[in-house]
Amino acid sequence: MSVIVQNCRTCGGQWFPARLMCPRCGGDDLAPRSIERGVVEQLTHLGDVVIASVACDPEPLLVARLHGTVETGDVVELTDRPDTSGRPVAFVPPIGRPGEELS
Amino acid sequence: MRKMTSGVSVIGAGESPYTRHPASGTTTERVLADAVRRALADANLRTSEVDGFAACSFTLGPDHAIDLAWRLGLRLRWLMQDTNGGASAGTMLQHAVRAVESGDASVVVLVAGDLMDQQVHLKMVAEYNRATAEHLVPLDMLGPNALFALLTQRQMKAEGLTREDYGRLAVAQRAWAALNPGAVYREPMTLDDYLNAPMVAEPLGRYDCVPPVTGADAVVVAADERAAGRRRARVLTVSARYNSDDQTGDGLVTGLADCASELWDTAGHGPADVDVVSVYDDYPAMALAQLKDLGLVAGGEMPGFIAERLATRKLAVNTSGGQLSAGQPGSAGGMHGLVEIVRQLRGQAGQRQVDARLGLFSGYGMVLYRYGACATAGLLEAAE
Ligand SMILES: [Zn+2]
Repeated sequence: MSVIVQNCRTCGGQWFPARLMCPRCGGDDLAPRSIERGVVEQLTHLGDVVIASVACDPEPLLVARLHGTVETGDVVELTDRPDTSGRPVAFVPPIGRPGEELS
Repeated sequence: MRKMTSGVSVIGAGESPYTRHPASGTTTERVLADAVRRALADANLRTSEVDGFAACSFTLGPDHAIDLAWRLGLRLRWLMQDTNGGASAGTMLQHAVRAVESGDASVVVLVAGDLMDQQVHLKMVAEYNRATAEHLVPLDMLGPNALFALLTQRQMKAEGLTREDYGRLAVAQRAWAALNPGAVYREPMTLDDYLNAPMVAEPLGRYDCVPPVTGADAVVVAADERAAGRRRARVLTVSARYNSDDQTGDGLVTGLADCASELWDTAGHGPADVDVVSVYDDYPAMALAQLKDLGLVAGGEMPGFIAERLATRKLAVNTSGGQLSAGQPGSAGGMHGLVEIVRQLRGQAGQRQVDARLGLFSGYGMVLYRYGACATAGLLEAAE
């Protein structure tokens, strides 16, 4: 389980959602990189839906839907597929439409 | 080096009345046209005297600014279409003052507005941009309330704010709204009403979220000689920042933080000189963030500022009631604040009139992924 973000091969910056050029160095060599977990910074409830800000180390910051029992400050596994198994995960819809390659 | 605006004023303002429930047959173009007609009447000008036009609307499509100009019967030398939503007033004004200064246009009308019933609103927030459609809507998150709930939690922690503090801001704006016949919510609201309202996304309750309304706002910008001795709102300076942090921050600092020093330096005024302020209040937290960025309150001093300056209404902020009480007319949210400043500076604010020489307005908007990315602000001065 993981979420694919962009990794700039020139400066090491990590981005999500997808950029066309690296905001930090202007490079366009942006490669996919898997990130497996992040820290829940804040969370809120929209009815039964739990929305959170999740910080990856060292970046990026993601907007995620939490499933299972997760609290602020927890390290949570990231997934790019909806997961209703009850395990604690943070769902982040992936870059690109189905069938499309990253960058 | 930035140049101070010279000899350009807002000489008229108009607002098509806001409504939660537009009558059948209401269209975006008719609402925009109504605001244009009212602004021109206020400026005592005819459409034949207009040679510059700018429009911003989320719901005008498939038409564009030129279609709207055509249907309004405007023959133009200068035309612009803007897409910056809550920041559009500042964007369009920044362009318009330079157009008038340079002689590319002499009388410019700026208009923003939308037909915004519940169905249109849901469609707009679902299709707001690609990041929203791809990364937020699939979370079963429609609209930005949850994003600003997270941001508000960050601000509460950073500034030591409580729900009561935000409530005092909302209650003060409702008290201003009671003096504005154009506000959709005018009945008195207490702090208990605010705190006991249904929760939307904690810590945001119903009264932290703007009510979408149908409506439009317009202003007329012209060279001072066109004003011919009448009361006008002279534009001292306009400043803008777009995508100031690539969405990598906490959202508590807007692009206005970078606008502030050039605004004050260019105009030769400081925050303490301002008599009336309109800040873009899509949520109380953003109103406070903008007041801080513009230098009206220092970091760490927000709770006292709210209690002593806003709740008492000693500092005239969002005197129309703001969008929280007057309503959010789609893309006219930013123009709403400019219209209020112009009315205050021209002595047209009725029961809510304050003694105002210097007015400040700001706009904020276009949530890219985590918070808004467009920020504009302007200073205007009453002149004869
Ligand atoms: Zn880079």
